Amino acid sequence: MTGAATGPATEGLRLDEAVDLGYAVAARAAADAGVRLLAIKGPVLAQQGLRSPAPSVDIDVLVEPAGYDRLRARLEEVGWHDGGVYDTPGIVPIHSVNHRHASWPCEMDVHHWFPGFLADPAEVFDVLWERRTTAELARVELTAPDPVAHAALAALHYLRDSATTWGQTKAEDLATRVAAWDQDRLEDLGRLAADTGASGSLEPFLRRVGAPVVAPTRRLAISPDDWQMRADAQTRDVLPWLVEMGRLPWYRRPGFVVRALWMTDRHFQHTQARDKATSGSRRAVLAARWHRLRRGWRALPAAWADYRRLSGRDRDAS
Amino acid sequence: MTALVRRSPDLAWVDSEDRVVLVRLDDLAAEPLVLSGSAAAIWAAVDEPGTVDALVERVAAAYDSPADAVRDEVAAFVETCVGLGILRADDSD
Repeated sequence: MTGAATGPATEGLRLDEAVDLGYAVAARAAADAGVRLLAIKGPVLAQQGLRSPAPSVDIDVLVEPAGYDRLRARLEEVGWHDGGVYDTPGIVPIHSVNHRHASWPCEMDVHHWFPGFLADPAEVFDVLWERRTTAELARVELTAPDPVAHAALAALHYLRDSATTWGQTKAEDLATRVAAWDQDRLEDLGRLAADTGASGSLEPFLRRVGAPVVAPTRRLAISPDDWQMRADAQTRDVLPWLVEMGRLPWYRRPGFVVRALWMTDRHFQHTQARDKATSGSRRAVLAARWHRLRRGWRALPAAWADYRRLSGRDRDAS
Repeated sequence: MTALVRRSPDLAWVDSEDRVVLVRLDDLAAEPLVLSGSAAAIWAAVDEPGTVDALVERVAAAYDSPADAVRDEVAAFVETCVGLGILRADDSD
């Protein structure tokens, strides 16, 4: 024997280990808080044959919207803190909160709705929960969407970035798998889309796999225009700021521009921590701020063109 | 020792060639634990509950060693893990 070593994994928790274990932690925290939780994406999707096994970089869960605050409180108790910075604009509303733990190498993304399911998020969750199944990670049984619902969710995830090579490649891989389903299952997929307000947002995918596109059976609670803009966007860094500014009344725009150019220290350091670009000294933060401004300036022309195209201003002007 | 040693049912754990990493689900604030080297091998020997003597036999077979050569290490491992709450030792089956 080579000697037993038993001890905390504080410095040595590997990403693949952390992701699987983290799903189990999220599920237990939700159970402790009395919150319904579905394990989504990543290794669960792979187990269901909806993507190839591949390393995941974070833990993704979907929770009932009304239960999120209770889950957040429980996660805070056990060291998983959310950044608490939510003023970076997004084309679609905020849909998840990233929780981080000082000892873990991955984030826990807690979704309280999933973009593309445009019916009321609580109703969507109920639909997904009604048809839940189980998956096993880290020797723990987890509740997860059934493969039909999970395929819809994954397709929306990829369609959200359908202007990118990544989104197109992932969507096509998923479509190839789903297109092999029998007709009953494909019809189930079409009905699920209708029942979650996703008939329109999923339409390209449904047509690609041969599933019916059924008229929505629920009132949409989230703007399909926002979804379409997000799905068709070809630029990323600056566009959400332009979209957000366009939504504001004129008198709030000057302050917004100032904030866009020079975020609060807390906000800036949060985004930098996420990008893992900067830490430490005031001088390093200042240098990173200038770097961000230069990057934004270079990205502005393409983002502006993208914004005009997506908002229809070019068309209106002609 | 006649007590049956078994894994706590309230664990999440993953294993690879060289180690096992565990999280106590009844204490989510606790740090994950790593078992490496022979600790991982002894952990594997607890796949089925067993007395310390039985675990010694299993580990000895896995290492192709005499039982006496692994007995102290197995006993120490069990004692440590019971203290950490990841193994239980009781008389009930």
